[in-house]
Amino acid sequence: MVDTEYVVKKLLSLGADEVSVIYVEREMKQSRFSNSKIDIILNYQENSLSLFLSKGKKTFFTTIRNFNKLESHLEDFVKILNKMPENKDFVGLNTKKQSYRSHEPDGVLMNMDDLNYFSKRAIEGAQEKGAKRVAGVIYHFIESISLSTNYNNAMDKNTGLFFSVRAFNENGFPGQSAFHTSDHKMLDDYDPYFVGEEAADYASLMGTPKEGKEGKYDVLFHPLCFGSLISYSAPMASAYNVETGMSFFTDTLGKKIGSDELNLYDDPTMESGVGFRLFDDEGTETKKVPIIEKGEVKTYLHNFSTASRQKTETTGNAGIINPQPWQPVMGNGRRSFDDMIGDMKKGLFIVNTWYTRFQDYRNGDFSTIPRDGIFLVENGEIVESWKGIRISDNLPRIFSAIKEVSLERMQVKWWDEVMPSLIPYVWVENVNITKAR
Amino acid sequence: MDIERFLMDIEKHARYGEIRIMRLKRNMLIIKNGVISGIESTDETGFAVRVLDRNFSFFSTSNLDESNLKKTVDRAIKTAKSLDKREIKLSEEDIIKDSWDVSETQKIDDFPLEEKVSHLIDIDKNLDSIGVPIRMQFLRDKITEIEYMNTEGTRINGRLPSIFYYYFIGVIENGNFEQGSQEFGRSGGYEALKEWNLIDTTIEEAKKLKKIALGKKINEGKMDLIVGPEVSGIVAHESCGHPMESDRIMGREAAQAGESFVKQNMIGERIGSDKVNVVDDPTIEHSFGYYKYDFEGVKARKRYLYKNGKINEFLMNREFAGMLGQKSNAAARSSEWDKEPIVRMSTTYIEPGDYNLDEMLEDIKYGIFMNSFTEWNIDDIRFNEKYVGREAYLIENGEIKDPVKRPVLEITTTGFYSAVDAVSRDLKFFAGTCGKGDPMQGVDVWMGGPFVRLRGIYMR
Repeated sequence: MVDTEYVVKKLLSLGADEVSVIYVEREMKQSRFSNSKIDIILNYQENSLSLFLSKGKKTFFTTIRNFNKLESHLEDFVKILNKMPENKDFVGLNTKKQSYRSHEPDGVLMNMDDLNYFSKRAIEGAQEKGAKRVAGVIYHFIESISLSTNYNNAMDKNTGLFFSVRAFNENGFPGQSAFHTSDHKMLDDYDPYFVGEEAADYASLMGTPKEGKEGKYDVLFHPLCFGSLISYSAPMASAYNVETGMSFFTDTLGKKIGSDELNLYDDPTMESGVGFRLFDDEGTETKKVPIIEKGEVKTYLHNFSTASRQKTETTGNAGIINPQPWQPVMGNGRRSFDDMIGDMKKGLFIVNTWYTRFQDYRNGDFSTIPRDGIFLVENGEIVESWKGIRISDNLPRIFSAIKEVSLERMQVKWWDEVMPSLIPYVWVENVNITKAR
Repeated sequence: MDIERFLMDIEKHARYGEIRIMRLKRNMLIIKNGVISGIESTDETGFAVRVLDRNFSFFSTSNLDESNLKKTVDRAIKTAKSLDKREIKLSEEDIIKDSWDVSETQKIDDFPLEEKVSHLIDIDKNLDSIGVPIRMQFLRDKITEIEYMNTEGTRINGRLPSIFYYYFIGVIENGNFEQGSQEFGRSGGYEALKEWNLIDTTIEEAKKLKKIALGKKINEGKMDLIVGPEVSGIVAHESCGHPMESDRIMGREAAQAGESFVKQNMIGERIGSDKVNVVDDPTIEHSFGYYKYDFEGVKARKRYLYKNGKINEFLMNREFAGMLGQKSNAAARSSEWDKEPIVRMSTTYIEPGDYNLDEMLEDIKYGIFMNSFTEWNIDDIRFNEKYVGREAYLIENGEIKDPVKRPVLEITTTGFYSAVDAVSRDLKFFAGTCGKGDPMQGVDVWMGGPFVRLRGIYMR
């Protein structure tokens, strides 16, 4: 355990002007499985001390993990700081005294770490629904964070479980499902067994897919799939990325970039998700931040420096260099997924996607590759499954073409593609589908 | 740290074990539109132990106290012995005792921060002076020190310094936006900056982007195509290197990066024309993906993945080589101390042929020359892929003509390699960070190739 308050005082006494010190103790366990068997159990123990120091406009970041010579390290860091060039964009840390919400990690989940059991449940659930092969991963973590700056001290402890299951049918075609939670009660509905079942249901529906056909289609996105698009979009709302000009959010503040149905928040206050954060890297208390409401861009994500430069308030999203979203949440609609798909005359239902890449960050031109369940819907029924297609479109156009979002939302997180988020099913009109020729 | 005692404990209780102590020293510098937005230095050492008994366990820790390490090793042994039994037979490999190093002409530890900053500021000023409004640069040096030991007696110490540079620029011409980015990487010291000639390279790129921003889209249809080394490199990496990774082929990556269109029994099957040879080689000196021994202590060697247009050799670690009854070809890598070793590429490239670019151009009546790419992606079995041209031109009657805006090649892996009818003598490498694994591991790689000509390709 490192005393962050002491480290701040020491660094200030050595000559730093402002300091942010974050000490993290984390133990993460992981079970990986494939071909319906556990491949390996992994365990990661990490103790890290992340330091940000400034003197005037001079700034310096470092992280250390071995604390035996902490005192002499601190002296060295201030010497390095004194030699730094100036960061003209740096304004300062948040000077305002914060009062943090109270937060208690889920006590049941803290002790719920038999990942072998969870993996077996996921495999059994998928097999029960006919999966021939099952792969996936289950993570459990416990972490404690203490932060001190010149102006604030904060502590938090959190725990969570996140997992994804990919099931393959007898023809080798997959379905996927994924979930995250920091609340054990949610496992009543999202036990790994049920997540395995959902993945296998999609795999079963895939049967032997046909080659997809190019064209413009209405697409009903599964939360996992739209969560992926949101996970690429939300970081672009960072004021730093906007200032750089590498974002389709550039010059959109107060403007409409989506339909009335699109409401997008960054909500690290949602305690049921593993993206929960009590405070940001500058010690600012986090809050629910409206990024887009009724299609209109309401705010960018700010730290203290970007907010000061743009004459607004920090949103509690530091990253001291680059503000970041913690846990994207989309607003929900009025009707269920079943009602929505029942109303679809002709379109596609897509479960997941990956490899989203942009040919034009500024305007949002991109493509992404649907996977793990692509279904042609006609007159409200799934009539066949597809493979080999790509969405080649533009993100603001997709946001503007959102026809409806569902009543139900899912907490999804998958690999590095989908951030911990809460997302509904989303119906988008006239999505451009291409394929290899 | 009494590592030998830990290894003896593992040997006593389990079938196999290995310990890795890895020190990573990194310095990073970010410059955004002329402003130094971040300077970061880290120096961290971590401990990882992997044990095989009834199954594998992998434990890592940054707490290097003797008592914690002992506890970590004990837990790894206990876990590996308590899991359901899985049939695992590691390939038999030589016992190695060696140490290796990559030389630095301008040592990273001696290279002053002021010089790094002034070099990047110079690049930024030059770009600004010709009207480039969006300018991001990232420079990182890294020294990786690895101490590897296993219960079979292998003991290896390695030291790998490397430099990485990345730029992203955007231009706006008559309201048309165009973006360009490139990664540069090399193992060794700061002599890399001189080799890369970044001021001229970035200026040249910006000037090209300004022309391309005013280029026209092509009329879609079938035509001939020449791709440059940057494009042939990404194709080699995505549609040969990845599908030839044995862990994908055997399903271990199924839930994340996916599987492969290549199956275990496809060695010798035709994948393209006999002009196609794709290699992965970790032993190229000063390459970004260089290593002398992999992270299972196996000596690195050159691998022909596709040979004369046929599937030739998978990338293998000891687990999958053992499963296939072969020797490992040293493809196990870990990006950091707290990551398990998995099957990875190093430097993957299409092998040069015997043409020159002019010969390849001369009998093309109408086609596209795609020298570099921007957006790209590929499906999770590595079969359906897309490459959008960044620097690209029309070819008419054997001559390179006007720039064309973002031509799209959307093709299958076999479609690409089967259409290859000529490969140039050139060979150029480009750096990249290859992502795979869960948690994600980004490893340093090179990818490259010559100019490659394809006949009768659908472009849009």
